[in-house]
Amino acid sequence: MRRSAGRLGTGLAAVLAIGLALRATGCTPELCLRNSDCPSGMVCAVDGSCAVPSAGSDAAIDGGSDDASTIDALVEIP
Amino acid sequence: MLVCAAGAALVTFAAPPAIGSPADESLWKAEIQAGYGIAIGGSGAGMSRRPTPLTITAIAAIAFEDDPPLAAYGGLVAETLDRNAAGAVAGIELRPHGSRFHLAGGATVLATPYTLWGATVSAGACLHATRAVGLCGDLQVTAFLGGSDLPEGRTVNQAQFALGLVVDAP
Repeated sequence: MRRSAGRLGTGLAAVLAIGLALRATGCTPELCLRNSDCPSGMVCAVDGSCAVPSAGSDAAIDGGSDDASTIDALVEIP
Repeated sequence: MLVCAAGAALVTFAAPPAIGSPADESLWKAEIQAGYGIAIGGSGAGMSRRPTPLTITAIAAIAFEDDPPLAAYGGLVAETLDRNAAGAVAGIELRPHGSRFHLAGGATVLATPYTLWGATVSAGACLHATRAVGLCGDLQVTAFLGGSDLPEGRTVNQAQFALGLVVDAP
Protein backbone atom coordinates (compact mmCIF):
# COMPACT_ATOMS: atom_id res chain seq x y z
CA MET A 1 0.00 0.00 0.00
CA ARG A 2 2.81 2.38 0.92
CA ARG A 3 4.54 1.53 -2.38
CA SER A 4 1.36 2.29 -4.33
CA ALA A 5 0.96 5.58 -2.53
CA GLY A 6 4.55 6.42 -3.40
CA ARG A 7 3.92 5.69 -7.06
CA LEU A 8 0.80 7.84 -7.06
CA GLY A 9 2.78 10.63 -5.42
CA THR A 10 5.47 10.35 -8.06
CA GLY A 11 2.83 10.43 -10.79
CA LEU A 12 1.19 13.51 -9.32
CA ALA A 13 4.56 15.25 -9.01
CA ALA A 14 5.28 14.48 -12.66
CA VAL A 15 1.94 15.89 -13.71
CA LEU A 16 2.50 19.04 -11.68
CA ALA A 17 5.94 19.47 -13.25
CA ILE A 18 4.44 19.09 -16.71
CA GLY A 19 1.73 21.60 -15.92
CA LEU A 20 4.26 24.13 -14.69
CA ALA A 21 6.44 23.54 -17.75
CA LEU A 22 3.51 24.06 -20.08
CA ARG A 23 2.46 27.13 -18.15
CA ALA A 24 5.95 28.56 -18.56
CA THR A 25 6.05 27.89 -22.31
CA GLY A 26 4.85 31.08 -23.86
CA CYS A 27 4.48 29.42 -27.24
CA THR A 28 2.74 31.89 -29.53
CA PRO A 29 -0.49 32.54 -27.66
CA GLU A 30 -0.99 35.80 -29.52
CA LEU A 31 -1.59 33.73 -32.65
CA CYS A 32 -4.83 31.84 -33.03
CA LEU A 33 -5.31 28.33 -34.32
CA ARG A 34 -9.06 28.04 -34.00
CA ASN A 35 -11.89 30.55 -34.22
CA SER A 36 -12.63 29.95 -30.55
CA ASP A 37 -9.14 31.26 -29.71
CA CYS A 38 -10.37 34.71 -30.77
CA PRO A 39 -12.59 37.16 -28.91
CA SER A 40 -16.30 36.90 -29.58
CA GLY A 41 -17.24 38.33 -32.95
CA MET A 42 -13.83 37.66 -34.48
CA VAL A 43 -12.50 34.68 -36.38
CA CYS A 44 -9.07 33.21 -36.86
CA ALA A 45 -7.45 34.12 -40.16
CA VAL A 46 -5.08 31.78 -41.99
CA ASP A 47 -2.09 33.91 -40.89
CA GLY A 48 -2.98 33.28 -37.26
CA SER A 49 -4.43 36.68 -36.49
CA CYS A 50 -7.92 37.34 -35.16
CA ALA A 51 -9.98 39.42 -37.54
CA VAL A 52 -13.49 40.67 -37.98
CA PRO A 53 -15.10 38.42 -40.59
CA SER A 54 -15.86 40.03 -43.89
CA ALA A 55 -19.51 40.10 -44.90
CA GLY A 56 -20.60 37.12 -46.90
CA SER A 57 -17.68 34.91 -45.98
CA ASP A 58 -18.29 31.47 -44.54
CA ALA A 59 -16.31 32.49 -41.50
CA ALA A 60 -18.74 35.33 -40.91
CA ILE A 61 -21.49 32.80 -40.54
CA ASP A 62 -19.75 29.96 -38.75
CA GLY A 63 -16.95 31.61 -36.89
CA GLY A 64 -16.24 31.83 -33.20
CA SER A 65 -18.64 30.69 -30.59
CA ASP A 66 -21.63 32.41 -32.15
CA ASP A 67 -24.73 30.40 -32.79
CA ALA A 68 -24.57 29.71 -36.52
CA SER A 69 -28.29 29.13 -36.97
CA THR A 70 -29.10 32.52 -35.48
CA ILE A 71 -26.70 34.30 -37.80
CA ASP A 72 -27.85 32.26 -40.79
CA ALA A 73 -31.38 33.47 -40.10
CA LEU A 74 -30.20 37.09 -39.88
CA VAL A 75 -28.40 37.00 -43.21
CA GLU A 76 -31.07 35.08 -45.06
CA ILE A 77 -32.40 37.07 -48.02
CA PRO A 78 -35.95 36.27 -49.15
CA MET B 1 9.64 28.45 -29.26
CA LEU B 2 12.42 26.14 -28.05
CA VAL B 3 10.89 26.04 -24.61
CA CYS B 4 7.55 25.21 -26.18
CA ALA B 5 9.11 22.24 -27.99
CA ALA B 6 10.78 21.14 -24.77
CA GLY B 7 7.39 21.17 -23.09
CA ALA B 8 6.01 18.91 -25.80
CA ALA B 9 8.97 16.54 -25.38
CA LEU B 10 8.37 16.44 -21.64
CA VAL B 11 4.79 15.45 -22.27
CA THR B 12 5.96 12.73 -24.64
CA PHE B 13 8.22 11.06 -22.10
CA ALA B 14 5.98 11.49 -19.07
CA ALA B 15 4.00 8.27 -19.44
CA PRO B 16 4.69 5.75 -16.65
CA PRO B 17 6.44 2.49 -17.55
CA ALA B 18 4.35 -0.51 -18.57
CA ILE B 19 4.25 -3.15 -15.87
CA GLY B 20 1.75 -5.74 -14.75
CA SER B 21 -1.63 -4.53 -13.54
CA PRO B 22 -4.01 -6.23 -11.14
CA ALA B 23 -6.95 -4.78 -12.99
CA ASP B 24 -6.08 -5.46 -16.62
CA GLU B 25 -8.67 -8.24 -16.88
CA SER B 26 -11.62 -6.05 -15.90
CA LEU B 27 -14.76 -6.24 -18.01
CA TRP B 28 -15.53 -2.56 -17.82
CA LYS B 29 -14.13 0.64 -16.44
CA ALA B 30 -15.17 4.23 -15.90
CA GLU B 31 -12.69 7.05 -16.08
CA ILE B 32 -12.55 10.80 -15.75
CA GLN B 33 -9.61 12.59 -17.30
CA ALA B 34 -8.19 16.09 -17.38
CA GLY B 35 -5.91 16.87 -20.31
CA TYR B 36 -3.67 19.81 -21.06
CA GLY B 37 -0.93 20.34 -23.62
CA ILE B 38 0.13 22.06 -26.79
CA ALA B 39 -1.71 22.70 -30.05
CA ILE B 40 0.10 23.25 -33.32
CA GLY B 41 -1.25 24.53 -36.60
CA GLY B 42 -0.11 26.08 -39.85
CA SER B 43 3.17 25.42 -41.60
CA GLY B 44 6.49 27.14 -42.23
CA ALA B 45 6.61 30.75 -41.07
CA GLY B 46 2.90 30.61 -40.43
CA MET B 47 3.18 27.79 -37.90
CA SER B 48 1.95 28.66 -34.45
CA ARG B 49 1.82 26.85 -31.14
CA ARG B 50 -0.32 27.61 -28.16
CA PRO B 51 -1.54 25.86 -25.04
CA THR B 52 -4.67 23.79 -25.53
CA PRO B 53 -7.84 24.36 -23.57
CA LEU B 54 -8.24 22.18 -20.49
CA THR B 55 -10.06 19.11 -21.76
CA ILE B 56 -12.25 17.18 -19.34
CA THR B 57 -13.37 13.75 -20.48
CA ALA B 58 -15.66 11.23 -18.81
CA ILE B 59 -15.75 7.81 -20.45
CA ALA B 60 -16.96 4.29 -19.90
CA ALA B 61 -15.30 1.31 -21.57
CA ILE B 62 -16.41 -2.28 -21.92
CA ALA B 63 -14.33 -5.20 -23.09
CA PHE B 64 -15.74 -6.93 -26.15
CA GLU B 65 -12.87 -9.12 -27.28
CA ASP B 66 -10.45 -11.25 -25.29
CA ASP B 67 -7.84 -12.02 -27.91
CA PRO B 68 -6.74 -9.45 -28.82
CA PRO B 69 -7.91 -7.72 -25.61
CA LEU B 70 -10.06 -4.92 -26.99
CA ALA B 71 -12.53 -2.61 -25.31
CA ALA B 72 -14.92 -0.07 -26.76
CA TYR B 73 -15.18 3.29 -25.06
CA GLY B 74 -17.46 6.25 -25.30
CA GLY B 75 -18.24 9.32 -23.30
CA LEU B 76 -18.51 13.06 -23.04
CA VAL B 77 -15.86 15.70 -23.52
CA ALA B 78 -15.73 19.35 -22.54
CA GLU B 79 -13.24 22.10 -23.24
CA THR B 80 -12.80 24.76 -20.62
CA LEU B 81 -10.49 27.45 -19.16
CA ASP B 82 -10.72 30.10 -21.88
CA ARG B 83 -13.82 28.70 -23.60
CA ASN B 84 -16.67 26.32 -23.01
CA ALA B 85 -17.55 23.60 -25.46
CA ALA B 86 -19.03 20.14 -25.21
CA GLY B 87 -19.11 17.01 -27.31
CA ALA B 88 -18.47 13.30 -27.34
CA VAL B 89 -15.67 10.79 -27.78
CA ALA B 90 -15.73 7.16 -28.89
CA GLY B 91 -13.21 4.57 -29.93
CA ILE B 92 -11.41 1.31 -29.28
CA GLU B 93 -8.80 0.55 -26.66
CA LEU B 94 -6.20 -2.22 -26.64
CA ARG B 95 -5.26 -3.43 -23.17
CA PRO B 96 -2.60 -6.16 -23.45
CA HIS B 97 -2.89 -8.96 -20.89
CA GLY B 98 -0.52 -8.64 -17.96
CA SER B 99 0.37 -5.06 -18.74
CA ARG B 100 -0.57 -1.66 -17.39
CA PHE B 101 0.05 -0.20 -20.79
CA HIS B 102 -2.83 0.61 -23.10
CA LEU B 103 -3.33 2.07 -26.55
CA ALA B 104 -6.46 3.71 -27.89
CA GLY B 105 -7.77 5.23 -31.06
CA GLY B 106 -11.03 6.94 -31.83
CA ALA B 107 -12.90 10.08 -32.70
CA THR B 108 -13.47 13.35 -30.88
CA VAL B 109 -16.42 15.53 -31.81
CA LEU B 110 -17.28 18.87 -30.26
CA ALA B 111 -20.86 19.78 -31.01
CA THR B 112 -21.71 22.96 -29.17
CA PRO B 113 -21.42 25.97 -29.33
CA TYR B 114 -19.17 25.33 -32.33
CA THR B 115 -18.36 22.14 -34.19
CA LEU B 116 -14.98 20.46 -34.34
CA TRP B 117 -14.12 16.90 -35.19
CA GLY B 118 -10.99 14.87 -35.41
CA ALA B 119 -9.14 11.63 -34.79
CA THR B 120 -7.42 10.81 -31.51
CA VAL B 121 -4.75 8.26 -30.63
CA SER B 122 -3.40 7.79 -27.14
CA ALA B 123 -0.98 5.67 -25.19
CA GLY B 124 -0.57 5.43 -21.47
CA ALA B 125 -0.54 3.33 -18.34
CA CYS B 126 -2.40 3.03 -15.07
CA LEU B 127 -1.15 2.66 -11.51
CA HIS B 128 -3.66 1.09 -9.16
CA ALA B 129 -3.89 2.18 -5.53
CA THR B 130 -6.41 -0.62 -4.96
CA ARG B 131 -7.64 -3.44 -7.16
CA ALA B 132 -10.47 -1.27 -8.46
CA VAL B 133 -9.22 2.31 -8.32
CA GLY B 134 -6.22 3.73 -10.07
CA LEU B 135 -4.54 6.72 -11.60
CA CYS B 136 -3.82 6.78 -15.32
CA GLY B 137 -1.48 8.91 -17.37
CA ASP B 138 -1.90 9.18 -21.11
CA LEU B 139 -0.33 11.02 -23.97
CA GLN B 140 -3.14 11.93 -26.34
CA VAL B 141 -2.61 13.25 -29.83
CA THR B 142 -5.60 14.65 -31.69
CA ALA B 143 -5.76 15.86 -35.26
CA PHE B 144 -8.71 18.20 -35.70
CA LEU B 145 -9.68 17.95 -39.32
CA GLY B 146 -12.92 19.86 -39.70
CA GLY B 147 -15.70 21.87 -38.16
CA SER B 148 -16.84 25.44 -37.84
CA ASP B 149 -14.10 26.22 -35.31
CA LEU B 150 -11.31 25.73 -37.83
CA PRO B 151 -10.29 28.45 -40.27
CA GLU B 152 -10.84 27.34 -43.83
CA GLY B 153 -8.11 25.08 -45.14
CA ARG B 154 -6.43 24.61 -41.77
CA THR B 155 -6.05 21.60 -39.51
CA VAL B 156 -4.89 21.72 -35.91
CA ASN B 157 -2.95 19.03 -34.09
CA GLN B 158 -2.73 18.88 -30.35
CA ALA B 159 -0.75 16.78 -27.89
CA GLN B 160 -2.03 16.56 -24.37
CA PHE B 161 -1.00 14.82 -21.20
CA ALA B 162 -4.14 13.47 -19.59
CA LEU B 163 -4.37 12.49 -15.96
CA GLY B 164 -7.25 10.17 -15.21
CA LEU B 165 -8.96 8.57 -12.25
CA VAL B 166 -10.15 5.11 -13.24
CA VAL B 167 -12.55 2.67 -11.61
CA ASP B 168 -12.28 -0.93 -12.84
CA ALA B 169 -14.82 -3.69 -12.38
CA PRO B 170 -14.04 -7.41 -12.49
